[in-house]
Amino acid sequence: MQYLTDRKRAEGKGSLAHGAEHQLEVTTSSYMMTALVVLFLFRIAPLIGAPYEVVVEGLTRPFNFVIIALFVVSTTYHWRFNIKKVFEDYVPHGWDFAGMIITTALGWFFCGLGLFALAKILIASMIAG
Amino acid sequence: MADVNRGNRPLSPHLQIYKPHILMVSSILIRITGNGMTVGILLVLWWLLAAAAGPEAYEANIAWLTKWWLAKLVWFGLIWALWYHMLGGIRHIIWDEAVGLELETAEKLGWFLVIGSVVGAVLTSIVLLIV
Repeated sequence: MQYLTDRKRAEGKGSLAHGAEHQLEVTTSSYMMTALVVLFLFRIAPLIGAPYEVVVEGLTRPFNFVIIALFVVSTTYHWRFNIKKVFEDYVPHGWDFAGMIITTALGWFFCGLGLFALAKILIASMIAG
Repeated sequence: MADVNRGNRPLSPHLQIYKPHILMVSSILIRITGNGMTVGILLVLWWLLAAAAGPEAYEANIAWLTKWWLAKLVWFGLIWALWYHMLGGIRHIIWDEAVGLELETAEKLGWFLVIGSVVGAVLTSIVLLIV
């Protein structure tokens, strides 16, 4: 037994049987979300409310563009995943499932809206410049 | 017959049962800030879509979205919520490593979330106002 790692021993255990993998996924995403939030505050937040030209120039810089695109994708994913928990915990059985379906659809929609806006900003700046 | 009571169990939160303490409050605030930041997603999307709609539309939207005093207040709240939620996530990572779980340390971490998030939000807001 001492040759098995902690992870190997934990795999398949627990009520859902995939808690060990879930734990690693959530921990990994926690590190990445932390990094993204810090980068968002430094690189993107100063652009919010700035003059139009500054916003377009700032957002279409390669590094910033990747940051805001990842931010849109990961925050809408994180949102969709965690609003689900609110329905699981506080909403009576039956209605909770309806809420989760609506939340999932909305989360994807928000993600699409954000990426559409970013694509349009990029294309507009390429045409102008 | 573990499933007899399925679907008929009491739902949380059991707020009226426990006396508030820092570990409980700091945990609940993570959920409140997380759900509250739904507004943040919508506002950032609004800002991106406004920028995508061109210069005139952008200026017209910005008047409400960032220049209005009430909007500034909402943005400050969101910056605080983002800090709080992020620090809460960092505390989660620390606890997952089985570190800082002793009651005294855990309670200090709770206060760190509350105080750290306010300090972070004020500093961020000052920097953003200057830039």
